[in-house]
Amino acid sequence: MRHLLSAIALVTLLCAIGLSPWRWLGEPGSSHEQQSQQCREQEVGLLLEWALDVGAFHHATSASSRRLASVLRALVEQEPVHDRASMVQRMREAVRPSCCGGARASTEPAPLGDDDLDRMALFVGAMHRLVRQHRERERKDNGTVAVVVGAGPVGLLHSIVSFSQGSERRPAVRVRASSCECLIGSAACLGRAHV
Amino acid sequence: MVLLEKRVEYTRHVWFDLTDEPWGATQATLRAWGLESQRGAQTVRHAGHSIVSIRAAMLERFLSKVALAIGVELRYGVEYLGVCREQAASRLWVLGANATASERPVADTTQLCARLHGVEHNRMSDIQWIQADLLIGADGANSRVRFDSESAHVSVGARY
Repeated sequence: MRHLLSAIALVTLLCAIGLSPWRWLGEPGSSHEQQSQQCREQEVGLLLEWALDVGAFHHATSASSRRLASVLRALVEQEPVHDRASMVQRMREAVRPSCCGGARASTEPAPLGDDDLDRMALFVGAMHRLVRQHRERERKDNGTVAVVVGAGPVGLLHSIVSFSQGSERRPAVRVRASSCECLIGSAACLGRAHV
Repeated sequence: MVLLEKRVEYTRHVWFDLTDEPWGATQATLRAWGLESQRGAQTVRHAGHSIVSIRAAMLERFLSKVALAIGVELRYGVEYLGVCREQAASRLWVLGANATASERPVADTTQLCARLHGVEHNRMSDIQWIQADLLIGADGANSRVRFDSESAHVSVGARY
C-alpha cells in the first residue's frame, strides 16, 4: 500500500512539472503513431517527387507508380487549392489510406520545399480542369468504350483528349499511325519524331 | 478507355518536335497540362523557329502520368494480338497477350475469333479479351491495327 501511494505521488509530481512518465514506460500506441506520421510524411514526399519529376516515372508498371497515381487521382478529384498549407494538408489526407504502416519509416522524410508545393498546386489544378473536360467528352461519347493500341505520344495524347464517336456507326476502327496526325480537335498537330 | 502497350518502360531518346501555332496548339496544350511544372522535362528551343523539341521518353512519361491522373487504364506489357467483330452485339473484341511471357499464345486471329461465339475464350487465361466500341491504332508506321482492320474478319472500315 505504501509503495502504491509512493508511485501515485511520483506520477503526480512528474505530471505537475510537465513530464509524462508514460513516455518512459512506453505509452501504448505512441511509437506506432509516431512511425505512421513519419511514414505519411515520406509518402507525401514520394507523391510530390512522383508527380513533379518525369525522371521518377521511369517504370510505369511498378506497383508504387499505380498507388501514387491513385493518390494523385484522389487529389485531382477535389477542388484545387492555391496556398501551400492547404496543399500539404490535402496531400496528407490523400496518402492516409495507402500509408505503409511504418515499413519505410527508418529514414527522416525530406522537407517539403515551397517551390515544389507551388508547382504541385499548379499541376493538380491543371489535372482538375482536364478531368472536368474529360468527363464532359465521356458524356458526349455516351458510354463508348475505346481501346487504344500503343502508348507512345500519339496513343497517350489520344487517350487524354478522348475521342468523338459522333454519329458514326459502331463499331469502328481508326488508325493513327503517324505522329503527324492531328489529334486535339482538328486544330492541333502533335509534332514529329527525329533522331 | 483502355490503353495497351507492349513495352514496360519508356526508353526512346529520339527528339520529338512539338509544333505550335499556326500548325497546332500542342505546346500550349502541354503547358496547360503542367509540362513546365515537371523536373527533367527540359525542352529545347530553336532560334527563329516556333518548334520546341523534347526527348520522346520524357514526353511519354509526362503524358502517361497525366493519363493515369485522369483515370485512363494503362496496361503495360500487353501486346495487341488482333480484333474480332461480334455480329450480334455489334461490338469489337480486342485481344491482347502478355508481351513478356516466354511462351506466346496462338496469334492466329481468325482461329481466336472463331472461338468468340462460344464461352471458350473465358478459359483462355493467357489472352486478354477486351470488349470495345472503338479501336484506335496508334501503333506506328507498320500498324498492325490497320492490317487487321482491312482484313475480312473485322469488316469495319478503318479511318485514317
